[in-house]
Amino acid sequence: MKLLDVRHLSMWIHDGQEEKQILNDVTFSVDENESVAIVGESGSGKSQLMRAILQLQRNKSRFSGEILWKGNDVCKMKEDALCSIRYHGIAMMMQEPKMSLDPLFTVGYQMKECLMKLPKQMREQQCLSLLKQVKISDPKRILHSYPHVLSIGMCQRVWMAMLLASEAQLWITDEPTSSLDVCVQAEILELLNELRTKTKRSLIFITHDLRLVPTMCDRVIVMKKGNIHLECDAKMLYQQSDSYTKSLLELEKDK
Amino acid sequence: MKANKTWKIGMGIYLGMFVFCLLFSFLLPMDPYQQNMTLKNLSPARNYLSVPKEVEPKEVKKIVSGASFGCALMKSGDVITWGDDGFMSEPINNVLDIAAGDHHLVVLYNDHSINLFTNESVTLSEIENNQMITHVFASGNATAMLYANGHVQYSDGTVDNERWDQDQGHVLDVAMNDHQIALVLDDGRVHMFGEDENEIATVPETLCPVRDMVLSENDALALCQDQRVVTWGESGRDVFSVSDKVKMIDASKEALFVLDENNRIRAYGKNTFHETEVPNEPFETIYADAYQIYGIHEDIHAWGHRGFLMGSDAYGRDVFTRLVHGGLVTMSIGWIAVITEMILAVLFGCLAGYYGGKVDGLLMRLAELISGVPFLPLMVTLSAFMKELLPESGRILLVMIVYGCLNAPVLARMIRSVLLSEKEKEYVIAAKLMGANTWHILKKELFPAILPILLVNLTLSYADSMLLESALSFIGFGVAQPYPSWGNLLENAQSAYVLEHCWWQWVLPALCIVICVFGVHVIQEGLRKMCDPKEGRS
Repeated sequence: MKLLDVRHLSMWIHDGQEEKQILNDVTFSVDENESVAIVGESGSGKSQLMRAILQLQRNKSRFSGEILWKGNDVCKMKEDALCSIRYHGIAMMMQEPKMSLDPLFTVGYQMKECLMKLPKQMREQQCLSLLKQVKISDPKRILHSYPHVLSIGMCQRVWMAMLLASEAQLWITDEPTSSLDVCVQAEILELLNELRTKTKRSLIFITHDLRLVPTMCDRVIVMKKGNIHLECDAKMLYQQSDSYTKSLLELEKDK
Repeated sequence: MKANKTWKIGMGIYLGMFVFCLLFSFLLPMDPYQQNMTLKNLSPARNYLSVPKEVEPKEVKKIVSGASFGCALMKSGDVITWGDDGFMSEPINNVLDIAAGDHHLVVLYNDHSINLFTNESVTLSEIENNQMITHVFASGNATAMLYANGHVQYSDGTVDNERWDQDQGHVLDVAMNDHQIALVLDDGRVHMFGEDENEIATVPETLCPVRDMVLSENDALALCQDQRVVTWGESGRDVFSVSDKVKMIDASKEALFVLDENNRIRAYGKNTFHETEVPNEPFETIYADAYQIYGIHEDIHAWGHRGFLMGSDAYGRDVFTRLVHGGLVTMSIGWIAVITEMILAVLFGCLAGYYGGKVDGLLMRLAELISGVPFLPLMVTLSAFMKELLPESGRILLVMIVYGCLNAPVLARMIRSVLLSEKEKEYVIAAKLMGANTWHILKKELFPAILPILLVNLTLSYADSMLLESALSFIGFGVAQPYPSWGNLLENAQSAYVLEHCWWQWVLPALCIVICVFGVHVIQEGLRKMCDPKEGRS
């Protein structure tokens, strides 16, 4: 059985007045210990697809098709069941690492909320060791800081530590490097790859930077206007000859 | 300054005021209906009983007191004054007798001439020609003069001199209170004149021959020639059960005193200013007048009314007592408005903000409707309208609840807008990604986000509601007299006389309001800083 199996998924979002189709007949799957990249131009529906998998905008959306997580359709699940899949089954890291930390609480406080299963006195220790695993040199200071004093790269590492803390079999990272400079980008990706292979998890890696795909992923899915445009082995990406993929690759060369 | 410190300072100021008011309102119980026109508009003082050192106990011939001052007549003929004695600035010497009314002192000199010292509009009538005055008496605004030929002349206007024409020439002694005069005649009989409705006016028919007589406001006390005492009046007959022979009697305005042969003083009467709390010591002499009592035994012991710490108002009520009781009223009334506002604003703000859409639209139109109601005109009409339906004390509660209701839309709107923007923010979605359920998101992510504006706005509207209470009471639509509040204490300042002459009646409550509101504003500033991690905690 596949870990995640999306079959003929279409999604419409309504914003009060009109309904708009966002996804159209999307079918793909993720195996255990597999890394899949999803690429596409902005507005191609990459992030919306992830939101659909985690059922984040339920009350605004309408679905057809199935999203099977270990054989169960998440579209038909109750909210409580979803709560136990989010983070505990599928852990997602958002695009803006800094903005997605609560500005009113310290990093330590927020990390400890991920460690509720541990006894209280062990949580601090666990936080420190998690932060060390993501290669933060002074974890104590970070733990007692508010998000607004940290750099974006640092927040990214904090999020990775929080992913590590979960037992999720599938990680989703939504453009993890888009707000980082090139040096930090490389570091973060290396770290992500290392942690993933070490802990044997699956990864959905969303990006518009095609250069990263071959090193990070096994397979790649190219999206265009809510449809799956192409699915192939990551190493074959550069050999694709269709105009859309080419234009995406062209864009990268210009940078 | 650190945010933490700021709000602690504010809290200190506010709680200090509150605890102070609470504590003293327990220590100083208040009867809102009690009035005492004798003691009206007295300035702050605690020195009415401070007898100067130069008053040698053995040399004292007589001690008299007015509402706010004391005077001792020495055997040398000098008069020494204390208390609020500014109107007797020049030295008074060669004096035969003195008497004090509420606000005047009558002095009879050795040459039998008479003089009047006063800080109010008290006058003396013309002295009968060629007659020698031997004694003077005074009470309230009235003065009586006893001539050597046994004639009495009364100078006030409330009692007609002609009423005792038949007694003229036979008067040995005179006793007075504010409205009545008792004449002790040479055959031991007592005749009462003045207010006839009073129980004192009916002298007991089988009264022993009287040697001396005193009057309090409500009771009469007579010392018979066989040294027994008889009382009559409001408190009934013979309140003293004294078997010992009585040496001396005296009366203050509200209490009677007898000094028996064993030098014990017994007191009977009201204890408003601790007049009846007689020191447990033998005394040789007692002088009681107004609200001050002086007992002499080697030293001069004084008890009774010391003066008002913060003065008195136009009805003779202690400003300090009313200030602490009024403070409690003002401060607790503010809470009612704030709690009403908080409940409504949080409820409707959260509903509108969290659910959005149609609920939001409906609630916000409702809020606009309520915001459109003009507050002051509504309050004035409501107060007038509710006068018949609600007790006086309930009116201000209604005012505050209405104020809370009218203020709630503003705060609800703020909560709604914060929720609308916050709930779409990354960190809230991130929390959802972390498996948080709706309740957790409300509690841990959204409530902390609205907490700062909630706290800041509620403290602000608390300060505002205190000011509003004061403003409404000032114009007479808030807390109703005689119940005090800081606002209606300020009501006094509507009179030009008070504004000019009695600063303590309006400066003090105004100061209290300023300090308290300032404290609340400091709390608000501190809370604002503390809730903002970028300014406070990092």
